[in-house]
Amino acid sequence: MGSLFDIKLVFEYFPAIISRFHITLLIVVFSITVGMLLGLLIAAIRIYKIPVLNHIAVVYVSFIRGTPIIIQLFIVYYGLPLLLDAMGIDINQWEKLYFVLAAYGFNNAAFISEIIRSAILSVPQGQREAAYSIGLSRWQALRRVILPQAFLIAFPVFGTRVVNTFESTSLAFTLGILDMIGQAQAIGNRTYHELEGYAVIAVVFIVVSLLLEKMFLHAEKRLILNRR
Amino acid sequence: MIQLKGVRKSFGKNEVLKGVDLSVKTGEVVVVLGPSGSGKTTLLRCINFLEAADDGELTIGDTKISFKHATSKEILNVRRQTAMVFQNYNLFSNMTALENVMEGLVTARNVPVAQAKEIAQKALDKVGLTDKYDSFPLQLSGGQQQRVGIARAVALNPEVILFDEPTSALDPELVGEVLAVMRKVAQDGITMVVVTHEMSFANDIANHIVFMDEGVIVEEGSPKEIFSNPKEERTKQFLERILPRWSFSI
Amino acid sequence: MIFDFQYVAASLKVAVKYIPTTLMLSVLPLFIGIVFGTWIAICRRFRIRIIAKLADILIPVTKGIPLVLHLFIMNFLILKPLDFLSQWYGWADALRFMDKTYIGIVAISIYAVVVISETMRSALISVDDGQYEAGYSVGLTRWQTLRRVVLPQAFPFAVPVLCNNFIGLIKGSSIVYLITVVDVMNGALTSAQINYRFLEAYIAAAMIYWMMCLTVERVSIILEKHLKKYQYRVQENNLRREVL
Repeated sequence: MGSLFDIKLVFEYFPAIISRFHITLLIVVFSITVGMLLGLLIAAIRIYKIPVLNHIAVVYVSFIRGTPIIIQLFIVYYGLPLLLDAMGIDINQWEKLYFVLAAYGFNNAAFISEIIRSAILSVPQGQREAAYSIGLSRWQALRRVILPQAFLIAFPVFGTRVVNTFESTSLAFTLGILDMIGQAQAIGNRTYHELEGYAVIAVVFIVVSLLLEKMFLHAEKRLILNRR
Repeated sequence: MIQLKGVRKSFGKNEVLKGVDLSVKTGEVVVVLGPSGSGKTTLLRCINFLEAADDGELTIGDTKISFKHATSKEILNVRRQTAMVFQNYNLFSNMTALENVMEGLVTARNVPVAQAKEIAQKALDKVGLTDKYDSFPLQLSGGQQQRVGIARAVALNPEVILFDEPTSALDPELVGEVLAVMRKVAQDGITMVVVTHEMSFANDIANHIVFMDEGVIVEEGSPKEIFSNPKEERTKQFLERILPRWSFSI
Repeated sequence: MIFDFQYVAASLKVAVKYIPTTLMLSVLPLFIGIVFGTWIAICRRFRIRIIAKLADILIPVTKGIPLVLHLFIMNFLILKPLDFLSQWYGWADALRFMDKTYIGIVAISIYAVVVISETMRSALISVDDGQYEAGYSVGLTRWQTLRRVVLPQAFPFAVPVLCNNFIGLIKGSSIVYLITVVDVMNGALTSAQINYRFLEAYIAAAMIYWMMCLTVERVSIILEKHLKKYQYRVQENNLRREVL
């Protein structure tokens, strides 16, 4: 081996590594979208305390929050085919990326359901009462008063969730996905220069997460300004 | 004796104090009046360096300090010769009433605990809170909290107590009990600088009244001079706006 | 292959033995994080010369780097020089094959310091300015105000968040298996290397992490209840701003 760190190689590796950025982006966008849809469902189940489903939702959310995402990845990878096979669906030919997307989607569903639930519950009871007092129906009160307020409460937490998801995608490579880290490791194995690749990824992660944070902060300010 | 000379203070571009001179004799009660935004609270906060003034001089006792070049040791020294009663009480919320009063004695002035406790109890007795030694601030009403705040200041036996609108955060029915305690403190001959909007109270206890507007002292004198016979136009306007409500009590 | 609980049980039995390793990989960083994180947060709150400015830049930047990258970089930085030295020195060669838990602890600690410094920063900010001012007004120094007034009020606020941070560290520590440290995760996987019962092994590992996190959560709730009585906060902190 030569020197520990060669700055020239950082620039050399940069295009190869950044060219895998779309995988990371895909995981984030997909899992957040799925997470919101599923999360809304779970939150509704928990808020309206639908029997049986409510208990399942509680255990599900607790499990996802209490276990590392890396384990969830592998449980989905090994478990989902078995589960679907029992239902007569064969997914053994699926690409690994689909399992990654599913795992991150399931993960975000639990976290986002908690964000939605606690936001709705944190709208003061008086708001609901005031809505009823002027003759709004339950659904009208929810749509016109509760949800708009809950949205403002949830938004910053949601932003943090997006940034966290982005950072946790750094574990997708463990399943053999050729994302940025997978690429850096492949280069490292070939050339014994891992550090330069890691430096590239570190820079990408720092820049993107700072940008995301700025964006959400900006959006949050705009949102609040518009409501007051 | 406390003397301020040429105090200037800006927040960004906004100059709040434009060279203020003020002197307070020992045992005197000085009330600072003025419309909101006139800089009176800032002036008070400059005296104990809660606000760092940009320019000017402070004489307290026999020490003279320039605001620009004050060292942290000098600042601490000033703070140990003064005490403050805040608009929103600012009692230490992690301590009981008694601990609140003892804190400045024990931690800042190294008074032995037993002795500090005795002083603190006396101070709390004086403000009529004998039964509230062990209550936490949140368990007390606003009026009671402010009385603890006054006891906390009095117990330190400072050169001067600074009162920053001590009654403006209170519900109207609680104002009286706090003013009564302040009257008592004034009668004991403790030097006080008070920022307040309570005109009749000012008239009762002040030896000297200072009227401020837009960062300068417009007029000062005895209560009689200021209230019955103001010379400056701005003072007149201010009093006319405020006084009709109070005229019957003066 | 059909799911078989017997293998889960077998994996559990092995993995349980490595709970101390996982605890070491999370408790030690938690402790280091609280000490240094609080210190950094205090320096930032009081704007202490260079440290505050440096932290303003370094903390958000370091926070952006995923934990796994911290681990890989640390692993590389510690091992590669040893590789190099081992050509001549026996001790370097021996170090290379030593248990790498310490590398995990270093990497996770750096991460913990960053995360916990943010927790403590918001805890310090949660204490109203008036409390600092009251401390100064009775003649306390900055340090005395911090120790006697601010920290006692900030800690009850920080405890639930710190527990959350701790849960994050426990879960995050599972990635050390990537550098061959044997923790709960890797312990559960040992038998799977032979019998290919990976699903059962991962579920066994998940069970243990789940139990550990639930325990911390339970402790957090108890602590929070216990600390509630210290949370006597001043509510009206926006009064002064009106005046000036």
